[in-house]
Amino acid sequence: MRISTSQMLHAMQWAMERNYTRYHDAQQTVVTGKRIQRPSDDPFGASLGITLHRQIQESEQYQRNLTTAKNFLSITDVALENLNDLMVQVKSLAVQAATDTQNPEGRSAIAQQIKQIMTEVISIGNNTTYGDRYIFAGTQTLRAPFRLDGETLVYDGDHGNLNVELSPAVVMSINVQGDPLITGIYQAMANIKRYVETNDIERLSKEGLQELQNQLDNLLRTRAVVGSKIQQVEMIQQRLEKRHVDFTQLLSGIEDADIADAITKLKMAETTYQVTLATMARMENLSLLDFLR
Amino acid sequence: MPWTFFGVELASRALQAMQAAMNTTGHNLANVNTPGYSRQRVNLATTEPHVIEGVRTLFMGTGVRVESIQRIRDLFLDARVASTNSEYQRLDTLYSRLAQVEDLFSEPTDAGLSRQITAFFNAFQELSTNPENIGVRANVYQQVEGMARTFRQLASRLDEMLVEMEQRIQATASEINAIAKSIADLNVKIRYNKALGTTPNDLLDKRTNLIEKLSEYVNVRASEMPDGTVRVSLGEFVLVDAERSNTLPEGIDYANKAFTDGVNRTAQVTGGSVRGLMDAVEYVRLYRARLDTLAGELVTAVNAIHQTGYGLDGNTGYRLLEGTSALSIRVSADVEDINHIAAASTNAPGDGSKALELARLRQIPLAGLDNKTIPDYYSALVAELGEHARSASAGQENQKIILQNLQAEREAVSGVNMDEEMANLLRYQRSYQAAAHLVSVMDAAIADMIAAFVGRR
Repeated sequence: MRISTSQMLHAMQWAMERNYTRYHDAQQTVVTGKRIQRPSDDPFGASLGITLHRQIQESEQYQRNLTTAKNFLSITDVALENLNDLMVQVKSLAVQAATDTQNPEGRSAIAQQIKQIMTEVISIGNNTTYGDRYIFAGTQTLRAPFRLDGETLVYDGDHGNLNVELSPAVVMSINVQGDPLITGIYQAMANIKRYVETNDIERLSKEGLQELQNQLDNLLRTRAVVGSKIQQVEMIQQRLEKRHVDFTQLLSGIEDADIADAITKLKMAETTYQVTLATMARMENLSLLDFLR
Repeated sequence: MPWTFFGVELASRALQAMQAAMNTTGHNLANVNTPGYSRQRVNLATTEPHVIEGVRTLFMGTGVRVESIQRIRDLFLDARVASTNSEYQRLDTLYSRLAQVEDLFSEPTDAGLSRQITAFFNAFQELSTNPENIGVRANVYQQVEGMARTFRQLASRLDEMLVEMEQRIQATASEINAIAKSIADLNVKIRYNKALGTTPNDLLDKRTNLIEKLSEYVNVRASEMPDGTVRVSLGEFVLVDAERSNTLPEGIDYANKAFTDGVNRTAQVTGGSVRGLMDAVEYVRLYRARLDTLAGELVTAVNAIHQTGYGLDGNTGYRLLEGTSALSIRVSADVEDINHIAAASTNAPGDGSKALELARLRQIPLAGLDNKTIPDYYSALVAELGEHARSASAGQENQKIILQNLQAEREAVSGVNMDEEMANLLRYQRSYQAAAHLVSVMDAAIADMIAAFVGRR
């Protein structure tokens, strides 16, 4: 076949350009560590990558939601435990007052103590906050939920739920409304205090203690619910962490270059390019002109 | 026997012929790097023989002459190079434009719209868990604004690109018209020379180069006429016919990929960089429309939820977003006071259920988005863009290889080989030397003859 001089030069030039592009691409892959630089490198992989990135970004948000839920529930749990302690104290005071050996002075002192405890109940209701949110106020979280109107405890909150999405389509209500739980406890204590003050031993030991026990049971049930919710949150947290790792690995499998492979390819591209340059340099010397004369 | 100086004349003709051959070789060597140059060959032939009448008629050779200087060219290869070049230029132009679009979308990176959309929904998730918090509300506002800004930037960059591409098509059309005019001018010169019986090789090369330049822009078909002129057409539209050239219609019909005046003059474009640009315009318009749909649906769907919610100020009916397209989407003035951002379904500050509803919008397929969710609609758009770019890139690489092979084939026929020319030069030089020697031999013979006569006197 007849070969023209410029054809040979062109062929070399094309080879050089192509090999240089390959060398550059291989280098780019190694330097960035990414297999997909742009969607056209792998349209399906890129779109999968976008979805995985989104899921990772979303799961980071769910982690934050879970932390919020867990903290909120833990604060609630501590408050409920304190309420429980106060109720146990009132119960033992009531039992003490119900004994025949108590004199009126003693009962009056007990009534004073119960009154003190009732103030503490209100304090727990009004001072337990998450950040600046009143946790026992339903969704009226910006104002203190309890106030005294004479002897009765008025609930200014509502019965709304605070819902948090913990993972896709899993929504949990994380709050315990102050009414009827705390209002009920307060009412039971108020009744006992009244029976003690009025020396109504009969009603104190029957209805009074019974009602207190009912409220205590109610509180225990609520605490059990809160406790199981905390467990649930922790479980979801662990699952989400694992999913986060899975997503990250999947994403890496799609987007990241196999470094060993990429370096081998780079080395190969480099060698090819060197050979091209060397060939080009040698070709310069070959001409009939050099042999004439 | 012929006349006295017969031999000297024969030798001088040989000298002239060899000189012409050496000059042509020199011309070839000088143009070894001229793009589109076809090597030329001197065709030598014997001159008319001298007839000596006698008992037996004798033909006596009278030497050599230059019959023609031929341009070595394969016209079939030229046509194939031109059509392959058109297809290559179309794909190359399309790919480089789509690569620019890919850069604008910046996927998959942190700068892409995808992250912004997710951040937008995440901000509402966060708000649902902390609806009263001013810091969280400020973050929501930032994310909404950031997303809207990214939409607008992307849309306006794509619009700028569209304008630039349309201008480029118009500019190329003017260049096509100018080239057509030059070809028509060359046609006139070539026809004149042909009529005189000469072959204007370099003009032919020039014309071939111009036709090849045209084939970079559009798909052209060139057919040579018996009088030496070429007729160049773009589809049914005749660009050049002998000495006449026609300017392209000024209108562009993107749907049918043609230049048209809207009445009866239409030039259908199927190849070349112009078609590549037309295809790119069509694709970019498609992405642009998708982006508009996405932005419009997002505004509608988000507001439908947001307007039923309550702000911290206890009022309802606030819009979160405004606008109908990717270019006009922006944060509504309603929520400039961040307390107006609606997180609650009822007038209760701690209620985050409306924010949660908004955050969960991302999981809901929307009828206006072909029953896709907002994030899925967007990633489908990116995948579509990637697929278009990938297929253009693959096609471009294939066409490039075919084109290079064809060009090599043509170079093999028409290209100059320096070694070959050097060998020819050597050959012609030796012939020249021989002819010169012949002159001196003849001269000596004639001198002897004259001396003989003069000496006798």
